[in-house]
Amino acid sequence: MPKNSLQRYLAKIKNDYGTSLTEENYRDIILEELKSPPSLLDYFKDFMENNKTKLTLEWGCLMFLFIKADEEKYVPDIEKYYKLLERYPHNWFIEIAMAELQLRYYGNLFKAKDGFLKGLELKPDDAHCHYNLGYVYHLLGVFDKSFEHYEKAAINYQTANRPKEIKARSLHNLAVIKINVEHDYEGGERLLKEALAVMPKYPEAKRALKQIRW
Amino acid sequence: MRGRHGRLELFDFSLPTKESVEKVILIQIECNLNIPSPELNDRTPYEDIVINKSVSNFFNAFPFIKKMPTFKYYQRMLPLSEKEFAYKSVYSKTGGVLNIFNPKIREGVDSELKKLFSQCEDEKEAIRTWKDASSELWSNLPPKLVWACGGKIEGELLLDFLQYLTRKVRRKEFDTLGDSMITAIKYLREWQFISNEICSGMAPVNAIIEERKEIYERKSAFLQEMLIETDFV
Repeated sequence: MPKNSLQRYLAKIKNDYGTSLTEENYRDIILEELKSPPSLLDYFKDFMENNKTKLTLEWGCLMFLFIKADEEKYVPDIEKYYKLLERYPHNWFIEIAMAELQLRYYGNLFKAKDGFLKGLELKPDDAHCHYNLGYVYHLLGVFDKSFEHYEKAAINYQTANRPKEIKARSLHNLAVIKINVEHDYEGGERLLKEALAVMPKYPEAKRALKQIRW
Repeated sequence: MRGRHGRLELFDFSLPTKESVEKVILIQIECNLNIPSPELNDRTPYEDIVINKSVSNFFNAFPFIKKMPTFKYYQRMLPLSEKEFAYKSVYSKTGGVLNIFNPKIREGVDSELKKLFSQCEDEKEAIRTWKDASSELWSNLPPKLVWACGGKIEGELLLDFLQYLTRKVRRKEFDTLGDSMITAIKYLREWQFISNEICSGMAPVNAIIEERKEIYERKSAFLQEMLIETDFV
């Protein structure tokens, strides 16, 4: 890449975020940005170790700017830095951020599904990906696959950012499929009770349970 | 929803995109083409057009169609050529109410068909398997039921869903296209399971599948009788 592009990224990071990225510190700064949840930090430690010969200071700059654009939900920059990062090994974080953009900003279910599936390839058993795939398949009207992914999200919930919430929401959504698609009210009730045991203040689950008992 | 409004016969409705408004019109036409009528000797417009290899008889039987704003869509979809009977024609179908918010599907994104083509030596065999298998591209409908299209019940259910959605989103504001699309699709997935008087208390999803199966059987028998070969039978 032309050296002046790198200088531009470094200057932007310094001016906009008050951070000086160098060859020596960029790995630690990226890990600091991605330290929560612990599973994300572990993932990036492995990712950086496995790709250390391919990652450069430019990657560090682009990744930093991508993370900031994602925090600010500024779509043009998310797309711009994703494109620029494509020449480096793909990582879970950028794939997921793009999949979420496709889903929530553009409403493109097929592109979102592909993005979350790619995320799952990069971070197998990831609860966040499974949960979102459960959601996307639900919207696509493919309830068997939706069920499959919500189940996996409920099993692997510990890898998520808010583990209890992911588990409770997955259980609630499984219950909705049990009730609506399979007409299995007992199964639905059992799942709703499990969801409430994980997250007692969960209005949707309480409401659904009330409706079943009517 | 973001100002995309349409007018369909007796009421105004709200949909998230211009594309979905257009799809509503196309679904209505698909359904109309499968409804038998006394004006066509109890044949469906589809059958009449295939028998006569022309749309004239159909338009003469229903002259008001030519005066409707939707006439250009009829012209786009008709007459039915040889292409109608090849597997590729499924990508020109809407998928009906259950797929009202899906984007246009191209063969290139049909990974199941691609996979079958690579696995089977005989292309016909691949198509035979593919046409019967539930597809993610059309809310789990198999391609043969997408090709068959809906009928009278689905046409009525379409209007019912539009009224349901319009009631639900009235005065709602959305920040992004994604937000309005997801909201509309969530209501669609909710509505499809609610017992509906239009289909004698059945859930719309089941009634739609049942009707499409009947239409598929009728179309298959008709095409066989006409000695017309199709990839879908």
